Amino acid sequence: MALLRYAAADVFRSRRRTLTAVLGVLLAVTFIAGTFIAIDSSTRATLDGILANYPADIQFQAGPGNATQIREAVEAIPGIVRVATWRNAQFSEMESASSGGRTYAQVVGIEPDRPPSFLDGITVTAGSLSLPRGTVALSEDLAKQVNVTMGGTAAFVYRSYNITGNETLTRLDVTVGGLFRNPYTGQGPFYAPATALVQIRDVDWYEQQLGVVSYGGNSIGGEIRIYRDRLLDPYDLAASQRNLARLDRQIDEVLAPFQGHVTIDYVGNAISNFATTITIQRIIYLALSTPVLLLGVYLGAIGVDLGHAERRRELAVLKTRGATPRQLVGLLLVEASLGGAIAAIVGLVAGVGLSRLLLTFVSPFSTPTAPRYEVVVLTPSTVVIVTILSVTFMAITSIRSARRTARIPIVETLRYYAPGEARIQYRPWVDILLITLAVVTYGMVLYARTNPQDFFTFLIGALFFIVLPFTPIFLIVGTTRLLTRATGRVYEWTARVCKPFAKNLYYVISRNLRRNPRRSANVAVIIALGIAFGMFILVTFSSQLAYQERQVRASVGADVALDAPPSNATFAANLSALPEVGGVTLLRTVPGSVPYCCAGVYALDPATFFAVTNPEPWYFSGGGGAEAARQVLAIPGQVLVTEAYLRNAYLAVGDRLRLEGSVYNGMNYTGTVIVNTTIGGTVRGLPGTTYYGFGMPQTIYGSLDTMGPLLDGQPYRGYGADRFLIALRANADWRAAKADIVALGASNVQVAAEQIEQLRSNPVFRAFFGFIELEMAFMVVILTAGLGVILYAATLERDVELAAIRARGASGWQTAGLLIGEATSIMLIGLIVGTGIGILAAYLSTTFIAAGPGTAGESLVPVLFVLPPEALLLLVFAPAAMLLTSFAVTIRVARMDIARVLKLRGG
Amino acid sequence: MPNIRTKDLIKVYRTGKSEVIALRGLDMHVAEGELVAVQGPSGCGKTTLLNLIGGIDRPTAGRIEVDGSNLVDFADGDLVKYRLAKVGFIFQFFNLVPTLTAEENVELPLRLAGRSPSIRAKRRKELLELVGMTQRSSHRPDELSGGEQQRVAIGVALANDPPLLLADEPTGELDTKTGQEVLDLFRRLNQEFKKTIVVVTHDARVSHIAHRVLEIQDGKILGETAAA
Repeated sequence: MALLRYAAADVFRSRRRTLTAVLGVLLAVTFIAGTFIAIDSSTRATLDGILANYPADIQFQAGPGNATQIREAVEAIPGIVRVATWRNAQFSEMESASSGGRTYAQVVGIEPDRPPSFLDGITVTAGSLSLPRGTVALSEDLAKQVNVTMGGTAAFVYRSYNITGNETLTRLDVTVGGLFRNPYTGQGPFYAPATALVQIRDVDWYEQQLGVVSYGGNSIGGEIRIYRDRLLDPYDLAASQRNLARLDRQIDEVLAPFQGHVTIDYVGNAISNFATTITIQRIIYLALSTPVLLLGVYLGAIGVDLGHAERRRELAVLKTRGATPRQLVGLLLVEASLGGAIAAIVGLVAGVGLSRLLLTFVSPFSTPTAPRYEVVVLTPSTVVIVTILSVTFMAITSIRSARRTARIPIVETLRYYAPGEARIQYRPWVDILLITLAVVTYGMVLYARTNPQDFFTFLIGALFFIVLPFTPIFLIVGTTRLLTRATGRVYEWTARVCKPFAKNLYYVISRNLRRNPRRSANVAVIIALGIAFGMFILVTFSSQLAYQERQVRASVGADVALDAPPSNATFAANLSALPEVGGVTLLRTVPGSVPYCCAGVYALDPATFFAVTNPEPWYFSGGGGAEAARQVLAIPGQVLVTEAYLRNAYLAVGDRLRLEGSVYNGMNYTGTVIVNTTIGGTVRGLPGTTYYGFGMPQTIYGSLDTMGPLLDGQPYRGYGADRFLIALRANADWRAAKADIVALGASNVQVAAEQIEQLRSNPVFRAFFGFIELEMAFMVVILTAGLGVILYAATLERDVELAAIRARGASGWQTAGLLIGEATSIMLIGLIVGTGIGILAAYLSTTFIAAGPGTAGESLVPVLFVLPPEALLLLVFAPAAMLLTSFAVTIRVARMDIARVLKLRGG
Repeated sequence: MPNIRTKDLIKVYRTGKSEVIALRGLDMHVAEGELVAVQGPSGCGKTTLLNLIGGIDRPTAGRIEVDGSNLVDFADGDLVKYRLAKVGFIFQFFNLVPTLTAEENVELPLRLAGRSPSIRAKRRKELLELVGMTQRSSHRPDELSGGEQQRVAIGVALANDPPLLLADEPTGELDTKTGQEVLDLFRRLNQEFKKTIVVVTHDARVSHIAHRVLEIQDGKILGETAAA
């Protein structure tokens, strides 16, 4: 403590040195502070995003009764905006004179002016939802099944049974007063594709008319929307929970006379989990910031080391005056902690500015309206976390250098040139350990994948899967440090690139780099780490994105995939005639049993299938590709099987496969049909024929001719629904194409481009990708600032040397050229090592991690290595920024006052 | 061979609000082939004078004529060429490049001047022999004694065969014996190689090898003493 004042004076008076020491940690904590402030400032938007996923704020249930009365009673409670009620009818069938049979229908009573959330987004395509008694609104699906149109007559059907089991049907004719199209299929708690809507107050009446045997009737469901802004404060969760608890009690009191109560308090649940959500959000983003943190801490360590090296004489003087090494370490650590505190303060202030850029990327939840961000919110927890991180980082970065500096002999530290300061203080065993761990982990994962049942795998395999996510970091840090710090020779080699422009002075650059490798290594390792992490993240991310897009394409099979409407003989011709459609092929699921369980069976038209789907080469592992596959299928009686099926069923090409199917006459089973086929070849899979996730598909493919006997004689076409795959014309608008296809009556229309667009606009993806991009930009800032500071400190340290060279006849620009030459050589090492290691780590990660654990990890869709344009931009911008920085730093040298630097003035 | 003449040389250093007048209208002359010692108390302007003659600083006023050319009129580029070709500087603290060996340090000015490899090799050999450092040519400065470093520094100063050597306290960091060796080398350079030498020093022994000793006080030449 005796030295505290001395430490404080040094920190505040040697501002340039303090800045050099804290810069790395300052940049790291600025990024963390910016991220946390952005999370704090977008807390309201995050809550809005979470609540947007719920159908309502609160749901309740009440006994059968007057729904309007219930709604009005609940709406009268202060804090409630709106209440919607619904009630399911106790009959669920409809028919019409022309339908040819009864069909299932979910009949729901609603208040048309207050539709419940499960009707959000419906489009009324004809009539209205006014629903006077005797009038019904049908979903288009239901109208199609009942075979009625707007204004037509359909009937509710109620089926009852007497005690002997005899069935009685009662009917009530209703007029179709409205048609609507549901925005999604089969979604929502009560919403089915075949839905009929009636007035909620008429449900009892319909049930009475149909003679429904009622046991009190179905209960009434209700949704409540509350005044969120009045009741919820994401920054005061306790108050919010209190408000909601009181509201729930009030609602229960109001509903009690109606035998009702709150069933789900979505908002309450969200609020009670919100603190955890925000904490998890912070942890995730802290983890995502690891590269910036590592880079910042590393730069911090180098900055601190430079500062200590600069002070070696001063510290030696302290030692000559009786300071113990322990006291010196203490002094340096106190200074580091003070620097950490300063970095925290500056980082928090700078983080406010940075948070504006990060706001839109820190929440993985999207809101239906523009997100509501606060101006700036700085919570106490952010201040505490950032300060603790900053001080801890500074202490960590200082401890080793402080100990080393305190141990240097006094005599050496008092010299003008201390050879000890030029040597790399490097012990490679830690890095060798990291690399070994990475290699063993990758090896073990490979072993576990090929030997999943192995006892060794069982025993310790899981351990390596836990370590696997950290392995790229081990590999990057270990290899980068080993390659840049183990020897100074590498710098001498790369110095050769300076030869053409440094000419005669090349040897000065070369000797400097070789004989003072510490300075070079400090810069190179920062650059290499930054570039490696950048390349790793960008390549891994792009490869993953490309993998997912490829999965979408494989799943859809072509540009568009769709199910044909039943019983429409002209559909295929109409589809082909659409202006956007370039090619159409028919794909049918074949019913029937397969020998050697289990495989899906598809029938396709080989002449058009391969032209429309245009499969990528990885679908075919053998030679010949798509053309060979087409030729196999073109021969009647020949089938293709997937390699997984061939392997699992112990089959070989040329073996016979006996496929068996049932034959129906109408709905009646009449017998069995057998199709004998020969395996003509194998594929890994084919587009559009299955869901492609982890695991290889087990599938049999035959031509429509070969599979014809199995497809004919089916009771209905539902199972073997005609699926069409479409190739759009070049430059065709998929939106227009989709609209035209839907208009033709197609269902389950999947558009590859649309799904990829949805994938990219996914809020989680968008937040993650945006954050990563900003992180990359920030890493370039750290690299540039790091290089600038280290070079600046290095030129200060070498002022006398450089001034002496100038006094002996070197021009300012020749001297600056020496420094730029050195910086370029170091940068080259950093770039080569960083790029190589980053890409290697990304390749191993995409191969080992993306493919998933165990044998199930083998995926039909390969994770192909993608080098995105952003990575190339990083490789261009980072060196350009660093070169500019080194140029700016060396201007000072070019303009230095030689006489002053050599301390010749005034003597 | 240079003929150096300064006229009304004034140098004022400004640091913040304070001003230090280092030279107050100093007039002096050094004839070609002369070995002149400049002596005086600390802060009298000796080193400032050396800096100005060596072209590493500019005067506030006055003239510095070297072979009839006024250094004050030189552009920065001209001063670089002047330092490279005409002047050899020898510093009290040697100021060798720490990462270069003795021979590489000697070679540095030759490279700056764009000499060919063969010329560089020949010249390097000659100079290391001249200063007696052939045996220690592959050692770096931190592996050499003070005297050895100063001898290497003299080799560096002589690399481009400048007619003028400027030495600032060349024996200040050396013991008596080594200092004497350096002074003997100066005498030899002056007599054998006809170098014009200006030595700024407190060392009284320099007066034994110098043709003249100039006494500076308060930025002016107070007087001169002929050699003993």
